[in-house]
Amino acid sequence: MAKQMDAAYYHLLHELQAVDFVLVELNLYLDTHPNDLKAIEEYNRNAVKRKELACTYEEKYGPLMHFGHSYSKYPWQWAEEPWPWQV
Amino acid sequence: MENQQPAAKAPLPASSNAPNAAYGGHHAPTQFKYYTPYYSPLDPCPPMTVKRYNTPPNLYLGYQPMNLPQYRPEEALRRGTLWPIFYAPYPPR
Amino acid sequence: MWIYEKKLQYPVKVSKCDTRMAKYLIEQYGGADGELAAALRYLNQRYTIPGKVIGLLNDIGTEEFAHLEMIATMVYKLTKDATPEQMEAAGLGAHYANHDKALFYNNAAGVPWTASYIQANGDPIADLYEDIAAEEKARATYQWLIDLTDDVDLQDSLKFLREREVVHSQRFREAVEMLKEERDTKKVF
Repeated sequence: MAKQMDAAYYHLLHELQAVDFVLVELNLYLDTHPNDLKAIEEYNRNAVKRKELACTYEEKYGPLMHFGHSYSKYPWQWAEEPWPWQV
Repeated sequence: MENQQPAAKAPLPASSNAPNAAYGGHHAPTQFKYYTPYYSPLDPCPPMTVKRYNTPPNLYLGYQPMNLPQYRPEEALRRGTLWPIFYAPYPPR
Repeated sequence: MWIYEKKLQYPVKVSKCDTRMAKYLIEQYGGADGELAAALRYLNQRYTIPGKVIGLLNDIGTEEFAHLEMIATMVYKLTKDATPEQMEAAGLGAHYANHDKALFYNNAAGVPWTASYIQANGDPIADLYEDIAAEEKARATYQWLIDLTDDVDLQDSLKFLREREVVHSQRFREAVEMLKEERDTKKVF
């Protein structure tokens, strides 16, 4: 049986989901409002924040992405459980 | 009887119906409409006297204006949208 | 190409052991206006739509896969610990005979997913109106699913997905407006 995730895991995951959601919303908005400079700046600001949060998350819980978009410790962490539908 | 809203079943918090700059200072439209279907004395089941249907904000807004108020990230995620103007609550039947 | 991210877009919590809901939720997995149909519809239409709205179809299509994974998570959690008897009592006896606990792309009535659910006319206005209609139908289906359960945590995830349909519909309506513009001029809103 894979490790049980603790409250801190769910908290950090939720924080990341919140920033990523803002980015999804701004992304779709900008697809139809390409000249809104303020929204583009907001998008870029959140992208920086997202990178920092993802870094913290990956340090504690392993890679978020595959195919070279995240780093791995030894042994290979990507294929470790749990997967998103399991937690 | 068209679109008459039963007082006991207000579907939205009052704040959602407050005058809104995005609608030129007018009240935001209601998100549910109500009607009463014809009931025949020969119908087999007890009548559902009021039926409702949903009319979400995307039907009214047109092109989204710039600089609309936003939710904080955590609240945006919880509500499923970054902008209060699109928030469309659904109280289960 | 696509890169997978090892997290759900929104937390899925199922608090009630109610296998019956799995049978209904599968509508949004393999139904006519479910998340699979949505993702494939938009990603397929993007090849033949004017350049200024390709990005939107690409991005909404991509988000739909995140929603598909949320629905799969609900069904998985509701069925993984169910006995064959519980599956049968939930109306999933035929599903169990065919698939055990494997998910399958069919609708709530067990009809397999088919490509004819996806319209692709090639006319940009016809296709975008199709997309708007699909979003409204998916919004309505989420309403009926919310009505069918009293699990507030499951309702919470379904309400998130329903709200996303509202926002997607808004963006597709804006895409229609973009295509109605006379020239490729910079628009001031």
